[in-house]
Amino acid sequence: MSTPTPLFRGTNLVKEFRTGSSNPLGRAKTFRAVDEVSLEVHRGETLALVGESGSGKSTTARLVARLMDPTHGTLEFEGADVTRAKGADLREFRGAVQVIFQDPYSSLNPKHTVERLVTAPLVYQGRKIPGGARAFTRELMERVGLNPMHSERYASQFSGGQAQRIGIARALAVSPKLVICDEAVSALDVSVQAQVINLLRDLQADEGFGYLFIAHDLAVVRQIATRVAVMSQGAIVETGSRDDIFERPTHEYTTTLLRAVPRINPEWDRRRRQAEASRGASVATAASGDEAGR
Amino acid sequence: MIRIAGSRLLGMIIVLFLVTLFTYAIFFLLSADPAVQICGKNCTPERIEQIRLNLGLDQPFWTQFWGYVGGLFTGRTFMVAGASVECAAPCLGYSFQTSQLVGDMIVQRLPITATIAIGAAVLWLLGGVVAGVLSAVKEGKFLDRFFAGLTLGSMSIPNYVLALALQFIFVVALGWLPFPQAVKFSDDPVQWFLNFILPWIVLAVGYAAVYTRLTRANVIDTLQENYVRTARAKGLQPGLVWRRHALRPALTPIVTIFGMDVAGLLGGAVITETVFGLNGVGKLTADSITANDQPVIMAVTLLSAFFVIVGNMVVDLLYTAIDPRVRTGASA
Amino acid sequence: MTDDVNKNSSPLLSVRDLTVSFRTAQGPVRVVRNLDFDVPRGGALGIVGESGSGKSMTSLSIMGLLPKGGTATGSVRFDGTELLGLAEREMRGVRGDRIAMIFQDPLSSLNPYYKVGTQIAEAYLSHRSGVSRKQARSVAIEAMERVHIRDAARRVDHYPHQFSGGMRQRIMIAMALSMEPDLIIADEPTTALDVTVQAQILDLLSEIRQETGAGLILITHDLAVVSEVTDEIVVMREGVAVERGQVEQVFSDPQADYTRRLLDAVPRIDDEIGLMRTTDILIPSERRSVR
Repeated sequence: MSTPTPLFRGTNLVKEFRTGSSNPLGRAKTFRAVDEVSLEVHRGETLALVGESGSGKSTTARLVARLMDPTHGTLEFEGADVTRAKGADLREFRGAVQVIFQDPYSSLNPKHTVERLVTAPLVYQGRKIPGGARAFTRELMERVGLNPMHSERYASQFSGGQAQRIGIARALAVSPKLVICDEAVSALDVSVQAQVINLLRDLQADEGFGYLFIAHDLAVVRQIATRVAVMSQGAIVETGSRDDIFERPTHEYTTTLLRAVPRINPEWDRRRRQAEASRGASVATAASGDEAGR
Repeated sequence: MIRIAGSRLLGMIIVLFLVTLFTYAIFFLLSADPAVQICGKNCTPERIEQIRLNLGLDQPFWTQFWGYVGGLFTGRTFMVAGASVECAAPCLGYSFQTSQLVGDMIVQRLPITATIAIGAAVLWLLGGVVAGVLSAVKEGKFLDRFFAGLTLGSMSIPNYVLALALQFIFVVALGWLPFPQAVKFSDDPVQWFLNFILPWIVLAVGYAAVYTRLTRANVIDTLQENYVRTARAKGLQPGLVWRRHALRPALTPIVTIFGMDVAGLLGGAVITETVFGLNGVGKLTADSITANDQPVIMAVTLLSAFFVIVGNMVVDLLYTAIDPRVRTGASA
Repeated sequence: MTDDVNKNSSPLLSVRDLTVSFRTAQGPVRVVRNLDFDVPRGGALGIVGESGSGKSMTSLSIMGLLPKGGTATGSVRFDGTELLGLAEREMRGVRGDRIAMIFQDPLSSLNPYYKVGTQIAEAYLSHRSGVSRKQARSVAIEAMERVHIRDAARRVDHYPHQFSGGMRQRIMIAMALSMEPDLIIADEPTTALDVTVQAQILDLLSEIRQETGAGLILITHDLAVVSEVTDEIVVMREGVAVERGQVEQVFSDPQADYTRRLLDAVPRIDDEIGLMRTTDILIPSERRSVR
């Protein structure tokens, strides 16, 4: 039985940083932020990389996106080695792998219009914008739930959740195959977070891309992950399917992590559902088509 | 800590060396033939040649340069009008125009420069910080705007205009102060004060303006800090909140800038000294440039660089002493 | 009812009709409107809301720490004393001594230039007269030990940057504790911390409450945290309390539409389908797409 080539595979990735001492005569110490990390992301699935601060998950994401070069290890995209890809190969890689960052306000130039932001990746990669910039932008904005009439507005004029949608639109512009979400919903308010997670799930269902989803919030991860890799101090301590990790964790750290997460008493949720069912009101208050924001 | 000081010292020496080399090279390449100048009028080509030989000007650049550098450490001997002049280490050269060892010229003038620099420094630090703190406390109100206008005016007036204006008002018109002269403190403290007060004010005014703005900005920023909020939330007395949580963090960076500014001034406040006719290192600089007295120009440049570099290092070390984050290192 | 019983059953903190407004160029803006709630003695109240809900301003107005341009009207009765309008000198006596506050970001909430011990002992030296530095120092060490900082006698002389995030928050709690306050207000105390550290800090807060009987107001956007830590909850939206009651009651049978939809939006760790079906944007700042 042959397993299909994963969309992305990282093998024994290592990233070391030199902790500079001000003394030029002393030996520099190195710090291993990523320590022999191997992971795979398949088409249409989401691999969640979870861990606390200092676990190395963000650094790993940057290695995968080739925003940083690994000290050791290999990166393969669709079977091809991209570890040291340059020039045209690298551009092709960038066209297939996009990143959505945590803070929309610092990852979007506040002085650029939505149109400029969203079409930028295509412009930088020297690709034609199908249908012209305006139409293209508007179509993308609709898909992510923004008002297409706002394509000429500046990024700074949008709220946090909307700015994040612009970031998602920008990632979609090149029709990527792998999208890396680096704490993409962590800075959002609860209700907005829910919306954006739903959007990400819907987009994945429509387009079939793979997600590398970096997060520290396990409850959020539960909503979107197919598989989960738990990181601690630069290394992956456990990988598995979502259910395996959440219901049958094997590593001590995973158990500690799960136990620490505060949770709403499921009994209360059950009672609420019963109360509402008996009251005849539906919990979902809007039809699935309505993506507010207009 | 010793290692840090050691590497800084090394860096300092390297920078000083490079400054010396650079300055020497500039003079070597750009200035007129010193032999001609020394010779003066009634010069014959043979005499010029003789002087050039005496001064070693026929030798290649590096030989001359190392000769100069060597002189800084071990002293040199100059041939002047047939007699030899001993120049003890650090030998900064011999000025043929004034027939003096440059070193002696500078040493004579340093006390005056130091007096002007330090007196002005005290004035501008106190004035600037007080004005800055008041502006911050009364942000947006009349006092703040008043100081803003005042600082703008101070920064706009050229030094020499202010000097002449003040001289006119206080010396000529009102007669309250004498024409500034270099009076020794040990001779007559009162006269010393009255003579130096004008140069102090003239020099301090520009700096005070900058320090006011700087202090004001720092204090306003610090007041927004979360730890000030914490201090208030603990119900501490306002005085304590101010001193410990507002002023200390706000003023610390200013102290270090102050060190740099004073160090720079020790090389001479050229314009102030010249306008008031006070014989400090600054006036020496101006005079020697006009007269194209190379050894002197070279020496004052080096001196100035020396003060700045040393000042820089002192400030760096000061920072490690006063900012705990620099001193220890995060061990979390 | 006798006076004694009255005193014990009367709430520690009683807020009535609290309104906080700010002067702006466009006129006064009310960030909190007609807020009512009680904190029983030894009880824990959670104030929950998204951004712009006014929850932080509520706590600041209780402490009298509103930023410039803000005024609070209404009534805030603390143990019988009306706090709004209280003279600044007396308010200072309350702050840090009877009501202590813990903030969100422990690194920026501590002065980097002073030792941790100094900052913990400050409140003690300020509020208690005739106390020596030595005494204050041992109070500081004791407070650090109570929040389980190991090697406290040595670390009391360390600076804030020498501690990790979780430890710094413990130091903030030690600062609050050192005066044995009757009420602790914690404004997003664990938002900036890792989840395991968060669990430890929340446990610590519960432990402290049990030991000292202090009341707690916990301000957060995290409904899960509030459900585990507090007994009562106030849900705020745009400055208004949309719902109030016992936590269990509010979560099992929310009355307000906003509460229901907020509960729907919270991701559950043990369930994926079913609840995260919010499609409406709930908070007005998000609905207003262009400012």
